[in-house]
Amino acid sequence: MRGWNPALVLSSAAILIGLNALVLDRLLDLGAPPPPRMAAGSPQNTRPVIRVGVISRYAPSLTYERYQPLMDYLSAAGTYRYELKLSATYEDAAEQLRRGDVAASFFGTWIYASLGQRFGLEPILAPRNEEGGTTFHAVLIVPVRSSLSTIADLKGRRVALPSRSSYAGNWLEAEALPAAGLSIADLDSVHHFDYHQTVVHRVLGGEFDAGIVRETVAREFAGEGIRIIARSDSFPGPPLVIRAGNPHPAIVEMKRLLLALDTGHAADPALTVGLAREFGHGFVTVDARTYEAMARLIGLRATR
Amino acid sequence: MIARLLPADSLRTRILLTTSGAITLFMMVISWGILAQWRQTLLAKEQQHAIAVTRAFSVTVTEAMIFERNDLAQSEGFLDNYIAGFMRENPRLRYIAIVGPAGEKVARSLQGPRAWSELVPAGILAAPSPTTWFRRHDGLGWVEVAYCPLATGHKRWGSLVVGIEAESVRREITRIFFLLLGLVVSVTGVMILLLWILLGRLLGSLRDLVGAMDTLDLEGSDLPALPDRRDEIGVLFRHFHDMHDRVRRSRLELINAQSQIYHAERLAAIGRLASGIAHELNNPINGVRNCIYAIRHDFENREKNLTYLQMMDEGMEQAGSVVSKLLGYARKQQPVRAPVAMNEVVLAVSRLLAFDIERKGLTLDLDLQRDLPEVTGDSQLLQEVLMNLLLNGMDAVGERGHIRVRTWARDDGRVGVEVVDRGKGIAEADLPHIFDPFFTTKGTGEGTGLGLSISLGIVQAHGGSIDVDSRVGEGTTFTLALPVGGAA
Repeated sequence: MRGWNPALVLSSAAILIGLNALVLDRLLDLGAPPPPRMAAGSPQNTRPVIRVGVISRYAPSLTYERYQPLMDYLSAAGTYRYELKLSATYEDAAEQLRRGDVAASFFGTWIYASLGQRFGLEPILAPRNEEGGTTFHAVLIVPVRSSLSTIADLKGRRVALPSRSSYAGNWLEAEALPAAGLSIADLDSVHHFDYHQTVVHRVLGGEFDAGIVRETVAREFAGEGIRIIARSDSFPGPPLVIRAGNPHPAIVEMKRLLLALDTGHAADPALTVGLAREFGHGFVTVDARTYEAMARLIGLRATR
Repeated sequence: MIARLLPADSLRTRILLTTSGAITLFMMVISWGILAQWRQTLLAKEQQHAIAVTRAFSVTVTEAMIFERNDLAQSEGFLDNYIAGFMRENPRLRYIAIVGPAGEKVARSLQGPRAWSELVPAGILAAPSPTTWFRRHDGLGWVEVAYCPLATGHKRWGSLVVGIEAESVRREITRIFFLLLGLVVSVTGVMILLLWILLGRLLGSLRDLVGAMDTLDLEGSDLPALPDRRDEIGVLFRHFHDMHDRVRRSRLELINAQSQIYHAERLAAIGRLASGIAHELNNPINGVRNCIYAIRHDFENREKNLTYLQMMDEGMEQAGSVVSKLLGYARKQQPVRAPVAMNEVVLAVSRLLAFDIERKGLTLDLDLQRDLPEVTGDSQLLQEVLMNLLLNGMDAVGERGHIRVRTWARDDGRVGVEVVDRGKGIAEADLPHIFDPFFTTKGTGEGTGLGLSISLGIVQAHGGSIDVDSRVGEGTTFTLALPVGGAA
C-alpha cells in the first residue's frame, strides 16, 4: 500500500454521505401499500329484509351487542336477512309490532302481559334460563358494603328502578313492599331509568341506596361491588311476540331456527360468544297462557 | 497541515485511515440497523395510537348511527358535531370521513381534501378490521390514514376513516437519524483520536528501537538504554537485546575464524614460496659451506680466513634476513592501525616474490608514484592482499609473462595500487564470483579459493575497495583503492 490518496479518501467520504442520504430518504418514505381490499357485496344483501323489534331494555348499542348475534345467526341459517329495529320505549316496541313495522319483537314479560291482548299479539318463544326452565327473577341489589339486608330496610331510602313497563320496574311496588308492610311512600325517593344497566351504575355510583334489576343483569355485575338482598318470585321469561295469526313464512322460519339454536355449536365462534350473552340456553315454545298469571296481577293492580 | 499530521507514507496514516474507514462503515451499518428497527417501532406505536383513537371515536359514531337509523331521537347533525368536536380535541387530526355500509357519504370534517375519493380510497371500506397506512396528500403532506369498520356483530353501519398528520413522525425519524449520525461521527472521531494517540505511542516505541539500532556498535559494549516495558514492545526490545548479544558473539567467532583462515592462507602462500625461499637459503648456505671448505683447506691463512668468515657472516645474515622476512609474513599478529606507505608494501612483496619471478622468467614492472600519501592500516594485512593479487597475476601470465604494478593517488583522497597482467584473463561468467569464498578456477591443490575473498574483506575493513577489469585472452587489472588516512 502506498501513501493515502486524497481523492480516494474524498470519494469514500462522498459515497458514505450519499449512502446516508439514500438511507434517510428510504426511512422518511412512510408510504406502504394500502391493506388488502375485500370484495364488496354479499349475496345476503339482496335477500328480503325481515325486521325484528326489541324493547328498550338496554341502551341501543348494548341492545345491538346482545341481539345482533341472533340476527346474524338467523340471517346465516335462514333465507331472509334479519335486521333489528330498536324502539325508544317499551310501548313503542308494541306499537311497531302492531303497526307491522316489525315482523316480530322481543318483548318484556310485563309489557306483553299489559298490552298483548289489547294489541292482538301472540307470544311464540321465550328464552330458557340457565337451568333450562322458562322463568326468571327480579332482584333487589345494594352496594356490597351497604348495611341494608332486607326489603324492610328500604324505608327512607333512595331506590333506582328500571322501566315502569318492566316486571322489575313494578315488582317492588306491587309485591315486595306490601309483603314487607311498606308502601312506595315509605321510601325516600324512587326513580325509574330506561335501562337495567343504568340502575346498576347508579347504585354503584352511590346515587341510590338500592336498585331492582333482572337477575341476569345483576349476575353480569357480580364482582363489581353489588350484592343481592332479595329475590322476586319467578315470572315467565320475556317472549318473542308476533301479531296474532301472522302467516308470514319468515315467522315460521324464525321459530324453527330459534328452537334449533345450539349456541354451543354455532359455526362462527364470534357468534357463539355473542349469543351466549343473552340467549345462551336456547328457546322454548310459549303461548298466551304462560303469561295469564302476570296479566291477572297487572289487572288487579290496575283496579286497586 | 493535514500533510504534516498525516504524512502520506506514514504507517500511522495508513493504519489510521484504514481503521477509521472500517470503523465508520461498521458504525454506519449498525446505526442504520438501529434506526430501521426504531423506525419500525415508532410506526407501530403510531399505528396503535391511530387505531386506538379511531376505535374510541367509532364507539360514539356507531351509537349516533344506531340512534339515527332507528329513529330513536332527533339526531340530525349529531355526526357533524361529533366530528367537529373530535377534531378540536385532537390537533393532530387532519380529517375524518364516515361512509355508510355501501360506501355512501354520511359525514365528513370541514378539513381535509375536498374529493371523497381522496378521503376514502375505493374498496378499502370492506376491510374486516381496523387498519392504518401512510399516504401523501397534496397540501397536507404525509398523513396516517386509520380505518375502522363500524359494526355490531355482523351488522355493518359503515366505515370510519381518520387522517392523522404524520409529518411529526418524519421529523422524529429525521431527528433520530441525525442524532445517531452525530453519535457515529463523535464515537468514530473519539476512536480515531484514541487510535492516533495509541499509534503515536506505539510508533514512538518503535522509533526508540530504530534509534537504538542506528546507534548499534558491535564493537562497543552496551546498547543504549531502552524503556523497560511489559507489553509486546517490551518483548521486542528484549529480543533485540538478545539478538544484539548473539550478533556480537557471532562476530567474535567470525573474526576468530577469519583470523585462522588468514593464517592458513598465509601458510599456503608460504608453501607456494617454499622453492624460492629454499633457493634463497641455499645460496648463502652453499657460500658458507664453500667458505668452511676453504678455511679447512688453508686453515693457517689467517688473512683469508678472516675474509671467509666475513663472507660466512654475510651469508648467514642473508639467510637470517630471508627467514626473518618469512617469519614476519607468516606470524599471526593482532591487526594494527598505523601509517602505511603503499610503495613500501609493494616493494616488500616484490622482494618476497623476487626469486619466483626470476625463476619463471617473468617481468615485473614497478611504476610507483613519488610522494604517495600514506594510508592508515595494517601493513602486514595489506602485504597479504598484494601478495594474493601478484600470485594470481603470476599464475595467470605463465612463463615469461609480464606484470605491472602501479601506485597512484587521486584528488578524491584515495590511494591506489593497480596490478596488471597480460595473462589469460577471467571468463565473464566467473567475474561475479571471484570474490566468493572457496571459488577457484585452479586445479585441486593449486589454490584454496579464499585469497581474493580474504583480500576483499581486508580492503573493505580498511574502508577501501577492489575493482577488477578482465578480458579473456587480454589480461586482468585489479585495482586496489584505499582512503588516505584510513577507514572513516
